[in-house]
Amino acid sequence: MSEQPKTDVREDGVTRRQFVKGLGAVSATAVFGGTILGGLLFPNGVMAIPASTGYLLVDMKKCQGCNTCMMACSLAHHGEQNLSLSRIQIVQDSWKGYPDDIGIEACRQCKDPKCVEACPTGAMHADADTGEVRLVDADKCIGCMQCVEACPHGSGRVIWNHEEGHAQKCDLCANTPFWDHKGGPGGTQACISVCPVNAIKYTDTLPGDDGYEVNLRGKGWAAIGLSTD
Amino acid sequence: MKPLMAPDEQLAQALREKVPYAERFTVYTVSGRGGMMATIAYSFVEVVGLMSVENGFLDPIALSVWVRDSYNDVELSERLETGCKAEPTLFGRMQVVRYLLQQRLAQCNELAVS
Amino acid sequence: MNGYAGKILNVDLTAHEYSVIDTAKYEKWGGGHAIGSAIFWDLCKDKTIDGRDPRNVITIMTSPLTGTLVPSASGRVEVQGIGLQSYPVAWYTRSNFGGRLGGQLKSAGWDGIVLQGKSPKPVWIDILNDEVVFNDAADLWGTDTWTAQQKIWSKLGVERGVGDAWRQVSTKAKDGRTTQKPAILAIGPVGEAGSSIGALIHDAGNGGGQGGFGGVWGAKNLKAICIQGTGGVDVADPTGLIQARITAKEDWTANDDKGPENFASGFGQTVSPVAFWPMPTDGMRPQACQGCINGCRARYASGVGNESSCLETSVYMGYDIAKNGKPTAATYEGVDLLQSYGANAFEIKHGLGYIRALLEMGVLGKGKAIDSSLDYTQLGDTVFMEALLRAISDKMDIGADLQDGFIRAAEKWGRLDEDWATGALQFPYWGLPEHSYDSRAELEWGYGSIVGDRDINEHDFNRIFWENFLSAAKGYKPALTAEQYTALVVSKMKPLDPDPSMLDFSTENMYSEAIAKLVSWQRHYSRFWKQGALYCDFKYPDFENLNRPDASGLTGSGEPDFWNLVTGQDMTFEEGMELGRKVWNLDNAIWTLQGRTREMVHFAPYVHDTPMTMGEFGPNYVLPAKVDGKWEYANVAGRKIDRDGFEEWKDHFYSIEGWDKTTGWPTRPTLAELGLDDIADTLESAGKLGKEQ
Repeated sequence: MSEQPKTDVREDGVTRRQFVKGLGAVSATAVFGGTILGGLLFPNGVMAIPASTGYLLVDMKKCQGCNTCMMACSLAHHGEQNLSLSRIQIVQDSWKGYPDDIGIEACRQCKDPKCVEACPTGAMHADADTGEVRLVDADKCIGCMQCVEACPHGSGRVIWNHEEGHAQKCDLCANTPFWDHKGGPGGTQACISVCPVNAIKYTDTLPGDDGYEVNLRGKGWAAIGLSTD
Repeated sequence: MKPLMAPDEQLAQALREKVPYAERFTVYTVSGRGGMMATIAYSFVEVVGLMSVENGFLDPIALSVWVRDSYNDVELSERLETGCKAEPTLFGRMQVVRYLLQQRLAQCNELAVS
Repeated sequence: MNGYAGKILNVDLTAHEYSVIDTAKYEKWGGGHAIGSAIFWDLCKDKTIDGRDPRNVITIMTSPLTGTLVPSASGRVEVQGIGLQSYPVAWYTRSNFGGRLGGQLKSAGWDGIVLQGKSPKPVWIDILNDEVVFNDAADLWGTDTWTAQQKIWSKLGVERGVGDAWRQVSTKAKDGRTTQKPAILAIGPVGEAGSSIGALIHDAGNGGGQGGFGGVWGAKNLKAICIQGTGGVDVADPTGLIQARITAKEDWTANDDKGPENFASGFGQTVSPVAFWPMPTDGMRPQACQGCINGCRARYASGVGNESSCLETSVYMGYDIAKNGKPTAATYEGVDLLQSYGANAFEIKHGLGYIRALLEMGVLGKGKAIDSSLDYTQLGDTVFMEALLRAISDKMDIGADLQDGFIRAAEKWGRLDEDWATGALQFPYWGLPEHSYDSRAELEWGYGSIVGDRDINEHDFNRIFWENFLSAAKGYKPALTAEQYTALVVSKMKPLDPDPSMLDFSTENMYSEAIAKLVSWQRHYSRFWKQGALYCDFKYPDFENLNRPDASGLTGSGEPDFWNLVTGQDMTFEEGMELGRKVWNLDNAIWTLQGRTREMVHFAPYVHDTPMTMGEFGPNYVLPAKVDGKWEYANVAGRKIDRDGFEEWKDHFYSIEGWDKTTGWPTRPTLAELGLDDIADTLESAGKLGKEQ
C-alpha cells in the first residue's frame, strides 16, 4: 500500500490498526461494470479489500473422512445432501499412508482473494453485512467460472453449482436457508457443529499462510491412543 | 516376584518341543468388540507368544496342569497356581502368567545358546 | 420421495442391458434388506437354484437414510441373494459393507442395484449418474481388488492422491463436478474362481464377506461396479435433521474432549479404531464410513492395514505369533492380502486353524492323506497367506478342495463328522465359522444364527459382555448392576412386555420361552432397523448410554425420529419392528422353499456334546443371569447346548413366530396377518405351507 488512511477510525468503525493489518488488495482494473462493497480504492488503482472477520482452521490429521461436514454444508445451504455442492471438501485416497490419505479443502477467506479479483461483475465480493466474508451474490454471477479457476489453493475452494449454474463458496454459514441458525462470523458453522472429531475450528484472527492447518488433538485424543503430533 | 530356578537341559529342550495334537492348549484373545477369540497352541513356545499381546488371556490353572502333565515342569506349574490364586483380578493373574512364561522361555533359550 | 432416489437399477448381465424399477413399487418395505428380499421374491422364480446359477438375483440396496446426516446410518449397503457358503444348504442370505459407495449410489440417482443373468465375458459396470455402461473387463480379470479399483480410476482419468481433485465427471455440463474418487465394489481372484470364500471389496477394507457373494459375482463374470454421482439426497426436514445430528453429537456421544469410551454403549462410544493387532506407533488416524458419528477403522502411516478393522485385524496374528514368536509384518500384510484377493476373513481365519489342526494330526502335507504340496512350514508368514489365496484362486492343490469352503472340504476328505465332533472345525452353525461369541455361552448369538441363514454378526446384546469382561479383568465394577442393566434393556424391547428374564442367560433359563422372545425380538429389530433402514450394528441398538444422566440410550426413539426427519413419514418404533417381522417371515418363506425343515435346525455336534469349559480363575464369559433368585453378572461358560433342551427351545420359538412347530414353516394366519397372502399361496402350491397351530 502506498498511502495510509488519514484518520484513525474509518467510517464503519474499523480502527486504523485493524484496517492496516487486515487489508487485502486486488487490482481495480479487474473490476468493471460493478462495485466492490466495502473496498477502498487507492490513488494507484489498487482496490483494498477488508479482511474477513472469520476463518476456518482444520486439522487434517484428525479428520476421520466421514464427509459429515460436506453433507451438513450442502444440506444447510441447499436443502439436499450433495457432496458436489459442499463448500468444504474432504478428499481421500484409501491406499495412501497417513497423513497423505486425506486432504481438507476449506476456503481460507484469503486476505488477497484471487476469486474476488477475478470476478468481472462483482458477484464475488467481501460482504460488509456479514463480516467481510468473501461471498457470491448468485444473482450477479454470470457463470464465467473465472473465480473457480482463480482460486490458487489445491482443489479450488470456490465451488461450481452445476444444478443452479453459478459459483458459490464457504460463507461461514452466513446464509443457510435450510438451517434455522445464526451463522457467519460470530455465529455457528454447520461443519464445525457436526464434525464428530472436532477437526475444524473457527477463529476471528487472520491466520498466516501456514496457519490454516492446526493441531486440534489434545489429551483426550492421546487417551484414545491416537497420535497428537 | 521371585525368579524361577534355572531349568536343566532336558526340561529346556522339552519346553521347546511341540505337544501331541491331543494335548493342545487354548489361548484366548479378548477385547472390547472382539469377543473371546480362541487360538489353539501346540507348544509352550506358542503359548508364550500368544500371551505376549496385551489382550491374551487363558485359564491359569489349566495352564498349570498342562505344563506339569505335558512338559513335566513342576516348578512352573506350582508357581503358576499359587501366583494366580493370590491375584484378585484376571488382569493381575495374566501379568503373573506373562512374567513366569517369559522368564521360563528366556531361560530355555539361554541354555540353547550356551 | 424424501430420502429415496426413486429408481432401482435392474441389470441384465446376459444382454448387457438395464431397466429401471420404480422404487415406489417397493417403498412400503422401507429399505435395505426389506426391499431386497421383496425384489428377490418377485424376480427369482425358482428359489431352489444354486447360487452360481445365472438366474440367481443379487440385490445391492441402500435405504432412505443412506447419504444423509443420520448418524451411523449413512454408509452401509446391504447385499442379498442365494449364497454359496452355508451347509448343507447354501441359504438365501445377506452381507453388508460400509464406506462411501452407498452415498455415491444415491447421489447417482439410484436406491439400489439388481443383478440378474450372467455376462458372456468378464464385464465391469460404469454408473455415472443416470448413465450405465457395460465395459469389457478382460484387462481387469485376474487383478486383485485394489489394482482393479485403481485401474478403473485411471481409465476414468481420476488421479491418485489428495491433490487438486475437482474434475468434471463427464463431457456434459449437467453432470457437474466432484472431488470424490469413484466408489467401486469389486471381486478379486478368489471371487473370480467362483469360490464360496470370495468376498466383495470396496476401497481398501470395506468388505461384504459373508455368504460367498464374491464367488456369485465370479460366476456371473462381473468384476466390478463403479459408481459416481453428483446429485443429492433430499430430506423432509433439513433443519430438524441438522439439529438432531448436532444434538446426537453433543448430548449422546463421547468424543475426545469428553473422555474414554464405555464398551457397553453402542452409540455413545468415542471414536476408536477397532483393531486387535498391535497398533503401529508411527502415526494413524481413525477412519469412518460416510456419516458415522464415531469411526471404527483406521489408516496408518505405512498404508499397510488401511481400513481393515475388527476381526479382520486378527485373522493372521495368531498364526504369525505361532511361527515367529510375536506379531511381525505378516500380521498386517496377511490381512492386506485377504482384502486384495477378496476373501472372507472369518472363513480364512478359522480355516487356517483347521489347517493347523490337520497338520498337527499328521494328515495334511506332501504324500499324506490330504496330499498338498504347499509349504506349510511357512504358515504364519506373508508368503503362505499369498500361496493359500493363490491356490484357491487357481483351484490348485488344496485350493481345489477349498472352493466351497472348509466344511465341504472336510466332507470331501471324509473327515467332517469326526472334526466337527471334536471341534477341530470351529464352525458351529450352518457350516459357518465361529465368531468369538460361543453359542454355548452367548445364547442369542447361536440361536439367532441357527434359526436364520448365517452368523448373525449383531452385537446388540453382547456389548455388556465386553464391558463386564474388561471391568472384571481389571477389578472395577460396570456402571450398571445386572438388575439395572436388564431392566433398562427390556424397557426398550418394544413391543414386548419388559420381562427381564429375556436377558437371563443362566443355564436354568437357557431353553425358555423368555430366551426365545429375546431371539425373536432381535431378528425383527435387525431385519428392519439394522438391515433395512441400515442403522449400523456398531452403534445400534443403543441400550445403555453412559453419556446420558439416566444411562438410557436412544433406541426406541432415535431410530424412528431420524427416519421420520428424512422421509417425512410418521413411523413408530413398533411399526418398524412389525416391518422387521414381516421381512423375517418373507425370508423364512424363501428358506422353506429352499428346503428347510425343523430337523435341519441344529448346531455342529461339538456345540451339543462338549461343554465350553473355563475355570474359575480364567477368562469368564460374563453375562446377566439370575443366580439363586438374584441378578448378577455371572460366568456362563462351562455348558453345552443340550439337544432335548434345544428342541424345547425351538418349540417356544416357532410358537412365538407363529410357525408350524413340526416343520418350522410359516403358516397362513401369520402370513395373512402380515399382508403376505400371496406368499402363503406360493408355499401352499409348493406343498410347504406350515399347518396352523
